[in-house]
This record gives sequence, structure tokens and C-alpha cells, in this order.
Amino acid sequence: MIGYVEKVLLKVFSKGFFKEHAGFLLFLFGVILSHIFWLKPLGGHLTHEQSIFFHLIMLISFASDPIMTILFTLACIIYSVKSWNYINKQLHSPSNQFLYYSISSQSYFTQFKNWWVVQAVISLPIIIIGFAAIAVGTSYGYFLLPCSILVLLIILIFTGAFIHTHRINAIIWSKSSKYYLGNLYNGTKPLFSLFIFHIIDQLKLPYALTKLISLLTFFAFTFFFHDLKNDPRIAEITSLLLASGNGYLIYKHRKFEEDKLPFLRNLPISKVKVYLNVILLYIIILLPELLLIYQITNPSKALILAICCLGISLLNYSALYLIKTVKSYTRYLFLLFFACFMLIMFGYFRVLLLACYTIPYFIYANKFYNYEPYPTND
Amino acid sequence: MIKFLDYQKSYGSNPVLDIERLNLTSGIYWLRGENGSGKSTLLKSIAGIIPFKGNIILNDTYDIKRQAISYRKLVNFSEAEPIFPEFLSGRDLIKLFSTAKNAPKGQHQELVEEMEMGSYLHPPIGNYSSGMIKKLSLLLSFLGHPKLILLDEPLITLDAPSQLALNKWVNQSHRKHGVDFILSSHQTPDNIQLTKSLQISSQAVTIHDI
Repeated sequence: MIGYVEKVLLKVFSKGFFKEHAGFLLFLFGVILSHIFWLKPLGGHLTHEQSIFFHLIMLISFASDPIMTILFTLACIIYSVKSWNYINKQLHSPSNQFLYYSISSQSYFTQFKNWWVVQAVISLPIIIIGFAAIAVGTSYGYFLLPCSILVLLIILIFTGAFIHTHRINAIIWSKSSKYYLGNLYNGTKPLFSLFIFHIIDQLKLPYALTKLISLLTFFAFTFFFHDLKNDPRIAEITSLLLASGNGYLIYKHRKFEEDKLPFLRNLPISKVKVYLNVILLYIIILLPELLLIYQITNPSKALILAICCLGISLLNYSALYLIKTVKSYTRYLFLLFFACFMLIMFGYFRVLLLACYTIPYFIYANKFYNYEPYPTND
Repeated sequence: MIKFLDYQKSYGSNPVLDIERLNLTSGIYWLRGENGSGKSTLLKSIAGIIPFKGNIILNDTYDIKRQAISYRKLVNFSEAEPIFPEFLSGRDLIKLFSTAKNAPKGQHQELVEEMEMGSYLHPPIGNYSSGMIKKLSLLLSFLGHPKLILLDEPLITLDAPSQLALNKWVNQSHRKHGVDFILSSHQTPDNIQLTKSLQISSQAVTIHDI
């Protein structure tokens, strides 16, 4: 039976966490589930048992191969640290500060139990994968590594519950600035640089993860499609994937603009100038991806692909003037990816390129002064 | 000073404000109305932060929709509960606003001294109290060469010396530089030389003598 306090905490923290990370989780689980259920090993020349084994090979490897177990452990730790940071950030939000003088009057044990439930619910994705790996691993005769996965999950959930209980009982400390970022540069901060400072201040981990995903995508594509490297569509799809991987950062950028820079619309700065600042910002944010694109193909083709990568990011940015919820944005990202994928596969790359530089500016120019801020916590 | 033409503002299907024609002559206006009556919405519309139907024209010349930049050079705004990026310092924001609003060099210095803000302009805003952020927001709204300054609940969270400084700024700016003001407040702004009051009621705005 879940108590009232737990219900409130689950609503504020667990639901909020999943809402904010819906895109990333959907992508991750989409990849894993499609691997498990729709993988067709060796074109069907296997017995039923062998086929099941290969379907489950990813889960088995988590519970049998020490390197895969270490990778899974790392992923679980990153996920947990991210969730701890999220809860910490939410605890400092003014709208949640009532918790410091309400639930902290409960006994320490009750508070710990409540936070344990919150952390367990947030950890459901890694619990599901972990337990699936344990079940599959033990049924194939592996016991040591599945036990270590179980211990790991227990430690992570208990540590999270302990951290949150400790924090809610501590005095509220200053929300930011263990160090002053302004010291990095003392001159007038240009408009485009504000989000870069915001990344350094609050989005270091998401930025690093995005770039890691880009790097893995790049290596996976160059490795698996090495024999098709002369097909221009492979490089085009790689550039599409690299741009799509930055969807979360672009969402954060738009949210930053609306949450922290609403005064921008009162400043006498032309729309074109603001847009040029966005382009400059995206060139800097996408720099690692743009450099990777130069590794795929010759410089002149790479330049076009880099322009396309930037254009798709601008398309995502402008879409956020029309889309206001994470859920809709996630759906949009999948649809856009599918549409761009089809255009590339059918040889309409130039059409895509043209669309990426006309549609975004048209939407932006129409919506910049006409954007109705949406009353949401997303 | 400012003219409303067929102004309408609604949130979704809920109408908030409906002003067919309203012409405000030069002065310091006290905007009044109950909670949720649309005071902040009106000020944000005039500041050009939120969209609306109809038009707003400043000094019979600057159309908020057609001359967006020229209009915004002349209309400054301080929000009721200002929010700024936490990692920026007060100094950073003063530089940003001074550049954008084309403020004369060193214009902020006197304002900083009078509001006694010199000691905390360098740390990041994340470390400011709500009163400090409010003072900073008020200071930013006086930068440049505004013809109209909109102050949304300027007195909340301000300490007594800062309220005195603000009163002085408003009165002096109007008298010396002809700057007009619309300020919303639930308390009577005692030491400000108010011209008229604006009452929001049933989505309409009416002008009253003080």
C-alpha cells in the first residue's frame, strides 16, 4: 500500500524524471527491445533453441561476460547518478521547498522508506534489464555475475534513498555556483554563449552522454557499413543520426530560452540576429559531430553533410516553437527521423537540405514574437 | 504616449483582456486590479514579451508589430518575479542590457550606488536573495533611453532604502527626461508623483484620477 507522502514524491520526482528523459529512455529501450524481439540471426538457418539463444544473447552476455557486466555496471551507475542529480536539482526548485518543512518531520526510517520507493521506481528501467539478465543468465547456468548485478542494483537503490533522505534533512544550501563561471570570461557575454555557460553549469553529463552516443553511432556505422562506404546514403544517414542524437540538448536550449531568457523578446535585437546567434551556438555544440563527419567522406561532400547536420538541428529547434511537451517532441523526433531517412533512401537528399534551411526560419520568424509560453514544469 | 487598438488577449479559450480603444497620455500610471485580473499580462503585452490580437503604438509612431526593434529600444520592463540565468552575475546582465539598449557608458554606476548593489554585482545570481534579484531587475529597466518603463509589482521584496531610491528614480526620470511609467502595485506607491490610475476590471481597463 503506497502512502500519501510516497504518492506525492512519486508524482514530483519519479514521474518528472521519466517525463524529462522520455526521449532518451524510449530510444534506449527501443534499441534493446528491437534487438531482442526482432533480431533475425543468420537469416533463419538455426534451430528453435539456437534462435532463442541468439535473441537473448545481449541479456546473456550481461550475465556471463565480465566485460559486458562491467559495461552494464557503468551504465547503471551513470543512470543512477543522473537520477540522483535530477532529484537534487528538483529539491532545490522553489516549488519543492515545502518538502523541507513537511516530510522531514517524519521519522528517519519512514523518510528512508519513502525515498527508497521513489528511487526504486526511477530505477525501474535498469531493474527490468538487470532482472531479465539475471533470469536469462541463471537459466543458462551462470550464477556469479547475475548475483553481482543483483547486489549492484540493491546498493544503487539504497545509496540513492540514503542520499535523498540526508539531503531533505540538511539545511537548504545555495543552488548554484560552487565556482563562478563568469571568471572564465570577463567581457560582455555574447548571446550565443549563454547556453554554453548553462551547459558548463548544469548540463555537463547530458552533453558528455550525447557526444558519447554520437561517437558510438559514428563507429557503429563506419564498422557495420564499411563495405557500403561508396554509397553516399550511408554518410547522409550517419549525419542524420548524429544530428538526431542532439535532440535532447536542443530541447534543453529552447527550455533555457523560455525559462531564463524571456526578457530577450523585450530587447531591441533583431530576429535575424538572434537566429544567427542560434546558428553559431549550434555550430559550437555540434562541433564534435561536424568533425566526425569529416572522417566519413571527402571534404567537399563532408561540408554539405555538416550543413545538413546543422540544418536538421535548426529544424528541431524551430519545431519547439510549435511543440510544447516532451511527449510530443519525442514523437516528432521519431517522425522527423523517419521522414528524413526516407528522403535519403529515395535519393532526395537535396530536398532535405533545402527543407532544413527554409522551414526552420519560416517557423522561427513567425513565432519568435508570437510564442505563447506554456505553463508547464517540463 | 501609448495607444491600444482592438487589443485582445486570451489564454486558450479564456479571454483575459479586451481593450477596444485606449489612449494614455504622458504620465505615471498606477495599474490596479485584483489578483488574476490581468495586470502582468497587460504589462507583458506592452513589453512585447507575449503575443496578443490588435495593436499597441508608442508616441503615435512606433508600432510594436511593425517596428519591433525601434519600439523595444524605447520600452523597458521589470517583471514581478524576475528570473535570470543563475550562472550569470549582476555585472554580466548589466553589460548585456546596456549593450542591447544602447545605454551610455557608465549609466548604471549611479543606479548601482543608490540601490547599494555594488557589493554583490560580481557573484552569480544563483546566490542572490529575491530582494537582490528584484533590485537588479529594476536597475536593468532604467538602462538605455527608454520613453516608457513598465514596473510590475516594483515594491515587493524591496527594503525601505531601496524603495526610497526607486521613488527618486521614477520621479526624476519623469520630470527630467520625460519618461512615462506604468507600475502595478497592490500597495499605494506613496512617494511617487502619480498622474492617474488604471483599473482593470471585467477584462476592461479604465482611467481614473488619483
